[in-house]
Amino acid sequence: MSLSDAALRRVSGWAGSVHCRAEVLEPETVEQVGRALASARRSSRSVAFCGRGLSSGDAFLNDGNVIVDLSRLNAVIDWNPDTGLLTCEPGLLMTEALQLGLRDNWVVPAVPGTQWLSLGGAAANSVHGKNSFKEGSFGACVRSLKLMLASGEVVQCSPDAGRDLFGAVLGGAGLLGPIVELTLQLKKVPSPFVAVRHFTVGSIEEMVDRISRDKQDHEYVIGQVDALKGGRHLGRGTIHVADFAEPGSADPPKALGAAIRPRMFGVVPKPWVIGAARWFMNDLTMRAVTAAKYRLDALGRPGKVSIKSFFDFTFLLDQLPGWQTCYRDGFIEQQALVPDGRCSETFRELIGMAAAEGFPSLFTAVKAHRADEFPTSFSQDGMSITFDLPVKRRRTEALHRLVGGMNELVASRGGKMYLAKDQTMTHRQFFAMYPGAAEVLRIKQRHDPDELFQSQLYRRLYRDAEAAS
Amino acid sequence: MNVVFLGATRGIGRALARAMSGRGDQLYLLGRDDEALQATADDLAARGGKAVGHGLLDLAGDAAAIPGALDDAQGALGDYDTVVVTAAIFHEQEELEQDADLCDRLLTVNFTNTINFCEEARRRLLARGGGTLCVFSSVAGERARKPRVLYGATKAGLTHYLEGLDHRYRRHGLKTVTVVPGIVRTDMIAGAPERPFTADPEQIVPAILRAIDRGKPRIFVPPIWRLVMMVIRNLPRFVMRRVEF
Repeated sequence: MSLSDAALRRVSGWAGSVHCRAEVLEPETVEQVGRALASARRSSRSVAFCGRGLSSGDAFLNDGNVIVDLSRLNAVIDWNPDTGLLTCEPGLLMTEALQLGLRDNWVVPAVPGTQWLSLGGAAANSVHGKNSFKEGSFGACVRSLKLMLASGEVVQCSPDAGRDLFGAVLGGAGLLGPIVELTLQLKKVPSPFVAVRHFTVGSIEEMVDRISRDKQDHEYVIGQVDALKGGRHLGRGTIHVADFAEPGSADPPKALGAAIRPRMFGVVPKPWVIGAARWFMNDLTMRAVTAAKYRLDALGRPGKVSIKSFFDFTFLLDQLPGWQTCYRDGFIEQQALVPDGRCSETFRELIGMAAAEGFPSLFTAVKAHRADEFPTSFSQDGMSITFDLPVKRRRTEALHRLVGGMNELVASRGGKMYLAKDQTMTHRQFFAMYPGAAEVLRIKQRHDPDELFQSQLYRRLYRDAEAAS
Repeated sequence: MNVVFLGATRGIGRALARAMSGRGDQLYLLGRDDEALQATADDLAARGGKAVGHGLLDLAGDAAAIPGALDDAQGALGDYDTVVVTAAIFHEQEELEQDADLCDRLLTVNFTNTINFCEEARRRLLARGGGTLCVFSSVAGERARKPRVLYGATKAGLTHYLEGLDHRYRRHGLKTVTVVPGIVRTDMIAGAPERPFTADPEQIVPAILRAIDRGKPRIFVPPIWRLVMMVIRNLPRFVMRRVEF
């Protein structure tokens, strides 16, 4: 394998706002993963790992070094429809796992807003879904995994054996080595369909109250905020609650719903919509769109139940493939998790900050979470809010001031930012938000003393740049 | 469709095998690595498809093993109407020039024994009244280029042979489908820099399946490569001597 600079490929974070040039290797077998590590070691380069490259920030970027793409390592090793145990390689996609499972009414307990991520990526970021308050993050359904260490040795770890390493890998951002096999416990559900209801709320306080009540009684709860509305109605929005439908409920959809329709309303090809959005999206049109959506949601009879396929309910944005490219210069995604009791005030401040700097966010969602046992997973008892902040070429300084301010505020409130989306946190903020980071670093130093496994995120967050300079 | 599949454990072959078994085709897998074959069979089964069995066949080995391997396939499948060959090896021209054994191996696997295998499959398919023989060649066989002299020669020879089969036996019911892939992201090109028109295996599989179902004699995947190769085929010699691609 040549390691000349000609082999470097431009790789971007999913949100298109951070880039690098790296050598990308795409092994198809575990043996080839080992060879990739060995070749990187020989040429004194570090290795980052990626699945489908859906982390918005720099979690899988590794400028001037190697990125090992594990998405071709994607065999199903065993699937047992009686026990719901799925053993697979890390490149298997969430959509494939769900299609396998839902045939026999098994669902992956933690499913994020896209079906296209790999399960290895889901584990490394310990992703979460609209039921995070109940099921915790993805790590909670991992029964065991096989990890290739920097030495090339493959070790198996689980909550019983190699517990330290196991916990550090889940949510560990791929810094302990490549996961080469994982076993998941899927969850039995009454049917592959969900009964969805929605209602609107008039302010962020009402949204937070309502979600903390609804999470007692429902499987999935998600709030969408019209973040472009300020004043008394700041934080107004829509809440969707959903539960798995009992079999035989009225009019279940015929299909599992995994198919993505190629045209909008059956007429306009979706790439055209995104192409048009690139030119017509500005603060004014966005304000109109989010307000229209809120009005439309408020129109319907509140609490009306509709039966949807699990895919249609969970993966709303997958219906518009490539939507992230409608921001011409990319965007910065921020997801802040704030402990219970401080949510509404903090969310109000965050939305206010974004609006004041002139970066109102188009997609803003509120989710409830619970704590879990993984030291750097995105979890604690509280609620999170997401922001998509478009990069505006002439205002990058203001944007960085804004996200820096958000990070500070969230850290001071005892909250944390989501690593899979982050690209701006500092070492100090990170260690303040994630007390478990020191433990993960200790475990990493034990298993990877030469720092073979690195990413831009690792160098930014785990190394104390201020102390070094 | 009952399919004998040589080369389903990795790359485009694996993606094609998944698609075929996913739609209900019965597959018998042939390959050189027992463990990889078993893993592929498990993968197909877990995804809801089926591999009715698998057997060892190494194209780098003795061609005398071919009839036995096809007998076993016959035994497991009952009858088969389709044979797919995606197995091949790839090495850079420089490596091949320096290592005569490696070169011999490449010629044996990609040309001599691929053709030995196709000949045996052809006889058997014709004996049962016809069928489909789908074999993967490469755009490297479309025009001789500096970095692909030996590999390209094996693929040019293979393409030529397959075209001949199509001319000679289509009337007798044997449909020969030559798949000509461009650059596809598999471990065959591991570590190479990204080039234009590179595709993922999953992207090109639907077109290959359609070609197999319709018995299309030759298909470029992705289709843009038909145009690209038309241009390259028509470049004059003095240009080909100068350029390095």
